[in-house]
Amino acid sequence: MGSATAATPKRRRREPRALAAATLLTALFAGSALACGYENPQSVALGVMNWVYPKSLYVRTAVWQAEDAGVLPPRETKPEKDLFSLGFRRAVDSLNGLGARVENAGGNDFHFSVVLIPQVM
Amino acid sequence: MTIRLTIKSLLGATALAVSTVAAPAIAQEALMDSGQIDPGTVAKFFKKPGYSPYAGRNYPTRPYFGDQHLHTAWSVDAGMTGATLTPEDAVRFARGEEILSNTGQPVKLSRPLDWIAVTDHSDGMGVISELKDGNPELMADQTLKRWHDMMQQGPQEAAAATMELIKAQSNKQLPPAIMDPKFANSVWQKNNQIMEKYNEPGRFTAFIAYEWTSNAGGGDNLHRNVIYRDASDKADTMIPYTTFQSENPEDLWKWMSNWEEKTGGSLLAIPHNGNLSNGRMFELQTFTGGPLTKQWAEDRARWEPLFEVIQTKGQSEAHPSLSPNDEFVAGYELWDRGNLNLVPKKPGMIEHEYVREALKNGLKIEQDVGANPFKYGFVSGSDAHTGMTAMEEDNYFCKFVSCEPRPERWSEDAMKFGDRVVKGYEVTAAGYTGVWATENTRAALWDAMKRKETYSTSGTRMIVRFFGGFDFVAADATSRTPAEIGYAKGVPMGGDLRKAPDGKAPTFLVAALKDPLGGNLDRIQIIKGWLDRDGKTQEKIFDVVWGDADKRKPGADGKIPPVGSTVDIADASWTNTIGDPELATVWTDPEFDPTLKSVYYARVIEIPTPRWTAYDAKRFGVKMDPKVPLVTQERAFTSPIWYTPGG
Repeated sequence: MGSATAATPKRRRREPRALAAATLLTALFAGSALACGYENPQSVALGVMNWVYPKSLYVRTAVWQAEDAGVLPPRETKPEKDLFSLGFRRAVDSLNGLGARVENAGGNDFHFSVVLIPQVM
Repeated sequence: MTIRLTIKSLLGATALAVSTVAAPAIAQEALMDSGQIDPGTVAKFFKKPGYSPYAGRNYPTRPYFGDQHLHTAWSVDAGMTGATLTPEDAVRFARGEEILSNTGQPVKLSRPLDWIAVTDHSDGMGVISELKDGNPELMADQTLKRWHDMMQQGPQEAAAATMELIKAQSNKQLPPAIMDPKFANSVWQKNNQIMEKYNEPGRFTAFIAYEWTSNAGGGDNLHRNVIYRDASDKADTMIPYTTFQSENPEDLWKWMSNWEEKTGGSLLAIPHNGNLSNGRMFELQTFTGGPLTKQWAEDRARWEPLFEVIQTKGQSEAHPSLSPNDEFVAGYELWDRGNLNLVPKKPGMIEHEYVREALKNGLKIEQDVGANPFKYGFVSGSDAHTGMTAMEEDNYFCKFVSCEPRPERWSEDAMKFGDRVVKGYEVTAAGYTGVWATENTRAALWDAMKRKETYSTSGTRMIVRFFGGFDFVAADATSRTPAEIGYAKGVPMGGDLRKAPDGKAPTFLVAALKDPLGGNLDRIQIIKGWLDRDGKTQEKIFDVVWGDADKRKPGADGKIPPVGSTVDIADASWTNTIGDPELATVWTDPEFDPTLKSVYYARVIEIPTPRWTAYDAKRFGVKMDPKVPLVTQERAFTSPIWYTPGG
């Protein structure tokens, strides 16, 4: 999971910075991460997100708690296989569409977070 | 041991009642001033017992439970994997406070612990969090100050600062302040101030401690936790030893010796995870490949009195390939596929990774060089990298932030190196240490650790007593206060027996009381290792007392049948309708040879109860793969008692 802000085109251009930082930090601190035997780039990237975006992992907890409470639809017990990364492409399209609609809604001061579930990352 | 010897001397030589013991200071003085205590003289100084049988006791009367191995966000690997909880959060949690986990979940222990040792990695301790928090030593550098400011300005700017940091690292242009010992010192003193703030003699002990994290250059786990007996006035005087300086444990011992010499304080080190050392934790040579010597063996025994038997990365007690007749080891929390990098094991490695084997090999080394380097007492720790020692099966917050409670955590990768993976369900909910100390203070707990009067548990808080001597009789096990008899007639766990009296074999008084919140007891076993006449190591496991004794009898192989199971996996529950809430017995070694070196420890097994995976399956409504273990048998391992002929 991660948290990214989707708003103006300008802001969208800056989004990759955080993700790149997470990825690169994985490499930078690989030696340290090995201290107690931990080499999982995806999870390290999630950890970095919690640092760059304080409390971002709270959101992931909120998601499963909302699923359990019935606020969100129940999670899939057996997710379908994501052939040819179609799921990722759908997510990108959805985010682009969301960004466009927000932009059309006007105002550069409008901020909100988009939560990316682990598989997306 | 001073206390025990005093009590034994008094009681063995006179008809004084057991409870007529002196205050520790007086007892120690008497012991040191005279080789042979004269009962008549002693009687002048000791009060006769009053009405209360408990007044005046000066031996440990209760175990203090704690975790000697916990990381927080100040460990670089923990911080980089999402931990935000600090040493202060960690101590508050161990004391019983409710906190918010790194993923925003309220969490609290079922019961407070009595003590904690926060052991953040000394390599790079606090770098990330201190940069973010504005450590003055770092802020003196313009670049670091700018990065700090950017981190406060929001996620985008924080990310940009991170990118700059990465670029500087890759170009070898990191500001020198990060490597400056002054910075390390500021972090260390900050850590120690936190421990002082929460250390409350008599109520809760916060040790000053750190982890020295040697991976022997390639993921072979040679880690040691360094535990301070003293307060910050001494601890502050030197920053922790790092593997930037050396990965050789002998250099750590030298550093410890130097520290003690300079400060007058006391340190001990606790190795852990021999199971991930790829044959190096208990290898029969020095770190650099040299032969073992008496001096080396004595140094190791001096600086490392304890070994961590079980933690989140599995157990290092024994392995099925080495102990094929041990049904309680087979399949129990084994991480035996590789080292910390999951570099696969080669034949001959496992023999030097597990403490039972080390205990036996220690006898042989002692015979060969004149000292036993592997004379280990037993402890446990969590090694959690979350700041939370939440190791109860029904309250398990795992080793890493990524596996804090979530529906998917059982199926995700806990460790991954290419195609070599340890899955989330394999992470163990363990463990805690019981320390038989006279009071809950740093000094008393540390002294008990030093004399090995400790036991390791998988997370249960059962109470276990284990004494060895030559004069215990069956009736001693019926006492409601077995310790009085135990200390009077023998030595406690961690002690030594020497030169058996003619015609006598070692006898052991062992007693266990279930954890009030845990399962009943299945059985107590005594595990014996020895060196035979041919100089070969041997082991044997004896079931010495068991629950449901009216229904269970030893089979033809001498083993007690399984206790059964009441676990309702779907409901993640069980009933204490099998097993016994307490077990006690006196056992005499039936195969004792007074001329052979031997070692004994007790293992107490609970009845089957739900493993953390079963609680997850129920609470999250997930169906797990059939290979996922859903039931466990919690256990405790006492520190051993050694027998040395002629000694």
